[in-house]
Amino acid sequence: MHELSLACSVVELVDNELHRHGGGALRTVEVTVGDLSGVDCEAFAYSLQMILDRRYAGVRVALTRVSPRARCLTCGGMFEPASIYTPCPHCGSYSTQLLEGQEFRLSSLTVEADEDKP
Amino acid sequence: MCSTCGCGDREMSHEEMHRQGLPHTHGATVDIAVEQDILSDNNRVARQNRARWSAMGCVAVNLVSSPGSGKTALLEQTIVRLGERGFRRVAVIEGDQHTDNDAGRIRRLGVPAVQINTHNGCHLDARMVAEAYDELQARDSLLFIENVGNLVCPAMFDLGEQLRVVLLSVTEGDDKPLKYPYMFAGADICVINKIDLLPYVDSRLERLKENALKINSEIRFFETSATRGTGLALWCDYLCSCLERREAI
Repeated sequence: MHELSLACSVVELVDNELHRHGGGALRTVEVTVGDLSGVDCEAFAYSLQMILDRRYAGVRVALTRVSPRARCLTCGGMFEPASIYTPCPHCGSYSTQLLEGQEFRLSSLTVEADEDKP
Repeated sequence: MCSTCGCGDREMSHEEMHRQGLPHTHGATVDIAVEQDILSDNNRVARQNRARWSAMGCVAVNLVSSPGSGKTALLEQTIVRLGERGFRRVAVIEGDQHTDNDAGRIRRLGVPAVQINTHNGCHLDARMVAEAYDELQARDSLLFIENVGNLVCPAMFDLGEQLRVVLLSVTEGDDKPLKYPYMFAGADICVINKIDLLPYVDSRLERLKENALKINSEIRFFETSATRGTGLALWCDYLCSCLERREAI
């Protein structure tokens, strides 16, 4: 259950980004989470929303999930693995490389427009 | 001015501003592209730790396992065996939710140890370990970091270690790697402990190894019984070889 500490890291990044862009009322925080990143999306979204609510009223957490995609290092086949040790469905090899699905990043913020900025 | 929402100037399209991550409006709001790894701060401190330990001639070993697999027992016996070979340059950072019992066990062997109590936290992070190392200031040493007993959370947090060792006792079942794959995916070494209990449990060594190799085909195994002393000579040989070729790892 490390989702709360991960959510705290996101809030730190959000604070820094907002400060860098001169503030503004925060509307949306978009986070990209790969399905094999090891993050429990439900617990993470709940924790993040809870902390953000205390600092930025009315903010919405938007999670973008990324489906996993892997390449077999034996036969070169592409497939969608169900776990980090799913064998290649084409040749049965466990020697595979995960190309997508481990993402865990703060993608973007939406803030209320400031008249003075482009 | 862009035709999508009227933001920006004539020189740049709305899509171009998205591509370059420039702040721009969507009617009443502004999008700020960030695209930053959420663990970037931890990873930055971990890189600093790695560079610092490298410069100080240390090999840092992050020891992870479930509670009760025998991390502290393995450490104690490792320290004793290395001492018998005349090697005493060992330092330990202990992580637990509460108590400094484990640091006490290590200090009784004459080895410097710093205890980190994570309280409500379920793992060590790079910053906690950096602060603990400030107290130790070990040089030319094996630096053991005994993580919080937990096979889930510590997997995500790089501490800057040169070696990640996952310890697994045979009493936990040979399918443990499949149940907690992330920890095995990120480990360099798997120490299989309590092998003296194999006759009394259903776990099979070969099956356990097969399962770990499904997740991580590069993982290397050691078989030990910390309390009986089995397999510790090979384990200590390996640690000494790591220290000798520390520039390469």
